[in-house]
Amino acid sequence: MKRGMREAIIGNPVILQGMLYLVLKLMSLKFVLNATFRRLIKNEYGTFDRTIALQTRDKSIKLYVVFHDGRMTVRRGVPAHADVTIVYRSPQVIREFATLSPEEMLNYLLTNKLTFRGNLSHLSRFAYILNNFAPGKKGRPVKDGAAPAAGGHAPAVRTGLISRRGELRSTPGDRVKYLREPYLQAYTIGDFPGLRAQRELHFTARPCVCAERARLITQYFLDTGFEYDRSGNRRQPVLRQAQALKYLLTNKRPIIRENSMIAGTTTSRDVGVIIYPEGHGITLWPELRTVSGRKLQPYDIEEEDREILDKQVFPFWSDRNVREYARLSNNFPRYQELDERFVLYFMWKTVALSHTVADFPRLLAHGVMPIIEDAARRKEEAQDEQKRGFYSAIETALRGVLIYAEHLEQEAQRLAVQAGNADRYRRLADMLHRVPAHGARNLDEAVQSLWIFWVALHNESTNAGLSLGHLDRWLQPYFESDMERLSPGKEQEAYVFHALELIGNFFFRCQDHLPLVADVGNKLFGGSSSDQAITLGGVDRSGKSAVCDMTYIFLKVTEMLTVRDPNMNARYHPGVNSDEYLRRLVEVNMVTSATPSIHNDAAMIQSLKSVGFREEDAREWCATGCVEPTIPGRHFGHTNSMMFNMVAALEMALNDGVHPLMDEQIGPKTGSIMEGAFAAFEDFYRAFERQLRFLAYQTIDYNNSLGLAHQDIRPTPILSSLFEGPLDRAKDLTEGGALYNTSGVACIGLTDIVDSLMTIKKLVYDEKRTDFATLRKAVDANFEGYEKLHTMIRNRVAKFGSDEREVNLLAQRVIDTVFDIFYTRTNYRGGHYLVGFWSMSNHVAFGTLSGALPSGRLRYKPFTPGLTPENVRGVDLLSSIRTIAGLRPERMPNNIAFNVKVAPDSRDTHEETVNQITAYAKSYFELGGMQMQFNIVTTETLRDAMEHPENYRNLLVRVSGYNAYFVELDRDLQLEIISRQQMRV
Amino acid sequence: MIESRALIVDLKRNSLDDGPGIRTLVFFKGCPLRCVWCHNPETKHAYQELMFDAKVCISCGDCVKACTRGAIALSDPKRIDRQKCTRCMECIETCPSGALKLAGRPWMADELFSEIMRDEPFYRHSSGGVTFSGGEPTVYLHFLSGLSARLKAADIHLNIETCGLYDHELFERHLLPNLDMVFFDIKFIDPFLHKKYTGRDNGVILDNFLRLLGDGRIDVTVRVPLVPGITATGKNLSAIAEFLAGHGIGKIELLSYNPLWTGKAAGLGHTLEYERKVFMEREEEDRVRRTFKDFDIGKY
Repeated sequence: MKRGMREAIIGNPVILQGMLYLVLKLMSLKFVLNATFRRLIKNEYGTFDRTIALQTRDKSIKLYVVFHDGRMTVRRGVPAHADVTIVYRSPQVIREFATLSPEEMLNYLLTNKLTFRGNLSHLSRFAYILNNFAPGKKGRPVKDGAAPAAGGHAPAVRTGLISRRGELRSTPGDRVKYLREPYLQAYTIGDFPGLRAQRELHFTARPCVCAERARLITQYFLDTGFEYDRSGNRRQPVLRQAQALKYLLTNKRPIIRENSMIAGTTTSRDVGVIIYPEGHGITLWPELRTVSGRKLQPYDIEEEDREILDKQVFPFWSDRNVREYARLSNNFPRYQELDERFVLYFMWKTVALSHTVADFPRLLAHGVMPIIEDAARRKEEAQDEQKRGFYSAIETALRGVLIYAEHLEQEAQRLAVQAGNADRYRRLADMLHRVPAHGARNLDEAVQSLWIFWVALHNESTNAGLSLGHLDRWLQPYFESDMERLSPGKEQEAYVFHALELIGNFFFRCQDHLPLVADVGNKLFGGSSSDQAITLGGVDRSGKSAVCDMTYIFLKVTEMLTVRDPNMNARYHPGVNSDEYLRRLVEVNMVTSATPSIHNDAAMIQSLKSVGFREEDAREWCATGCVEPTIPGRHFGHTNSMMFNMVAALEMALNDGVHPLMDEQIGPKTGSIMEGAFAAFEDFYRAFERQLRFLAYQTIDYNNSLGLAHQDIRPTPILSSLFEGPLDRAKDLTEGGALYNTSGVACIGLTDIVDSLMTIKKLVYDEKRTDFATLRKAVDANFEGYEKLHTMIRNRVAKFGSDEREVNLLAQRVIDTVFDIFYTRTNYRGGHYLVGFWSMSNHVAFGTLSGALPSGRLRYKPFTPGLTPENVRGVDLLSSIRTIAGLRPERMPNNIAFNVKVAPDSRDTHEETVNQITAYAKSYFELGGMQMQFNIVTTETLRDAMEHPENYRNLLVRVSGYNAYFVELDRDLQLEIISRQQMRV
Repeated sequence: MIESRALIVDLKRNSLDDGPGIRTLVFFKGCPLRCVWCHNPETKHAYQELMFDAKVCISCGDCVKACTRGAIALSDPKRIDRQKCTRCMECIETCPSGALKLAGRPWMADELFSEIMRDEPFYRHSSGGVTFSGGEPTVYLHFLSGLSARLKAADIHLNIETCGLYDHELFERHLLPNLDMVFFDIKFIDPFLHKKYTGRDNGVILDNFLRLLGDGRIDVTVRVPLVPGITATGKNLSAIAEFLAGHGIGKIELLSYNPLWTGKAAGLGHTLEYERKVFMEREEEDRVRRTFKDFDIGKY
């Protein structure tokens, strides 16, 4: 009774508004009374002067807060201008909000109970201020041992898997020249103490925010101006970027890690989280105080860095980051508002656009000097100012790269005098004197040259998905020329050992940085590293096998280290590459339990040709980020420009354009099921198609506007310098300077859609076992009270993956539909949109935000990952392999992710299991399948890992296209992986 | 009589336990033996049966309404009164959960051939193939004659699992030339026990076995089902070991007891003459396996 009273009182909007007013009023008093709090709303540029409005969707509550001149005032009503408006779905939500933990608040945002309009940077800042008021949520001690995923204590790393000396042997095939036993089974990680130490560090070092880059780049613009230079002239974006990069590379600390054979580091920390304030850096703002204590992927952050980011860096970029720049230039567009509801699509250009591979062979062979000279010459010849500016940008940025190398050289000389092991540092200094300015003369120089350029690229653009390409065939000439000089036997054997160690070192260098992931991102793409893909094998430009000695060296390193990044991809060309090679790919995949992912060269090349790539170019494709194809040095195809939730379109078609989670009219009105709108299945399919098109066009408009923002805010002179096209056209890659200019889309939820459409077709229209209205009601009720219908769906409707003709045709039809919708649109660089079917971990994120579906999938359950059939009756491993292999590669040019989880039988020998899995892979590829990745691990192991994460630090799993450490994943995602189609082998 | 169709209960794909490589198992329906422990009771009779799976049933009652004979009652633990049931199979059509199923569907040889061939690449890349099982596949010797010849022509590795009770002349003429291997069950040496537990004498079976061995054309693997208290007695297993050793056989496969069959038999309305609802104890199984310590015991 008493409780009921209370509910009635605070449920009343008028009273609630009064209470909220009081709370905010009290807060504002703190600013008057307490100097510490006043400091909070000051920064280097003055005070935080913004207006934040708070209201419910029904407008029954409306308040606003004005920060001005170091004071905070609270008012009733709607302000004339608000920088941010926070909208609560109902008064109820406000009431609940007071008691929530940060994680729960996040869920409110994700589930659209809370939405906002306006500048996200200002909201982030406001959230940071609030965080300082919340009791118990202030900065935690930097070393927080309680965080389970951090692995602060030296954990027991399972070594059983990786230190095995293999029993499978091989003889040289393909283009192997020197390795007498290409599987290199004689080596284990135990033979490489240096690698073992780095590996230990990798699994124990806590990532730490590195503010160096953010600080330097901000400092540079504070000194020289951003929009205008000191003399008041408008700055040309690409030149401005190049000058800033040169400043950055000049002032960046040159570091040579004691345990590394390779000089240079991406960040100033052992494992540094890089902040790109012109990209998504500001998403860290609300978490500046809490990030070290968060549950998933916590980062340390030093007080000094926190201050600089909060007071100097983030305020400077509040309107100058890509997201807000796009918003302001397009006057707060609807497509952006929809993006920020999380459930429809995720746009990667708010973070990065560098999903591509540069022409590294050119760098290795000739160095950057010839490019600088070329740019200088072209600058002389150029007629107009813009072009001169562009060539000047290339020259300036590359000069920065050379200055960084020079600083490293000086550092090596200094260490040669001071530290022990003078020889080693002198050798490094010699190498750094040569590369990357000039061509490499041996494998060590090649790797060093590549690494310095790689560091430079990551200082230019976000470390997300930028990829390394065919390192095996590109490094092979250096390996060969080194080997030639040595005598067969002992000397050459010692060199193979050296090559393994060097590549191992390179792998660990690649892990010295992590992408910044805000807590909301942990939910959306948990566990992802920066996905620096390396691609092995396949065929070369002329169609001959490219599998060589270095291919097997990379595979051995992959097997020994079992680390999530670089993301290893292997191309297998049926009929050209040897069986021995495929067998080794399968074996390494088995031993590491997840990597490399294996691609069918023939299918991929055929697919690329069909969308306009020249055959020779198509043959050079390599994986970018997760699995997507890129032609190195010719193709700027932001291959993961967006993660597109196709299921949202289905939900909208079922609800006449309303999205149930948002409870709002989003898409066009396409007909009400309850009013009997769809006379035939075809009518419903057309409604689905219209919603799909509506959402797709939103994403395309947004992607294009973000692309234009990148052109202005963060052009890529360093990357452009190593591409065919930009210099000829005097155009940065972001402007369309490359030969090929596509954009890649990841379409999510195909299985859920096909299974749902099949249910509707079979049960409602063909067999008339139920009517559409009943099915809709059952879906709305999450099938509660509709158990019979639910059972019928599960048992009487053929599912995707059963290889039944009717389902296959429907699946192909959906693929064709979405392909056509995207392909016929042009991006801001003049290229096509290419679709693929893989999901990173967004199938979990989108799934947990979506209602029940006609497929029988229950509310908030994950969708199926990538292009993987669901584990249901009638879907066995062979049928699903046949199904996926039967889909047309031409319609999936941005590739697919087909996950197959296999648990080896303990009664089989290692060799038997390898042979069985090789047989699956070979059959799948022969039938035309594009890509597959095996997760080879038992369900018991995974369950044990959930209970004892400390024992499984290095347990790798594939999450639809990328590798992750199982113990770092969000719990929902862990459960999803366990339940994923498990096939007994 | 030339059969154009065979009654088949199920095709099991991606089987890795019934011969080398990746295989498809074909379960034929019908068997001349009446083993009291039959692990695949749905394959015993050479006619279609109605099968009920209590675990899957959601008790919606749609089948009760569908039955014109009043043979189904939710209150009946067996669910179906087999005396009243005419096997019209109307109830299966309405069942939403798949708890009611038809055991046995007639297949044309053509149809079966194409279904098998869908997985041809998997057989080829794993040195696998097809295993005829059941039931007793030789019940359909004439059907198999044409089918196996076509599979042989397509270079598919063929295996058969047989209880050994068949007409050797016909077997030799119609099937043997196309087979690559045979899994031959030996259950008892003592003819009295054989008759008691399988309903048939083992004279012909052992005779067929020796003829197959003597012929020497084909790889024969002996398999012995371990049924606690019946075949898995010290006396019986020693007799089998002695018999095999006497014929120079050093390799054997032992099939572990699996109690799941009792549920299936009950769902078919069969009367159980023998029942054991638990797996064999670890020690018990180890003990009986020791009887064959001089043999190479296969994996499965």
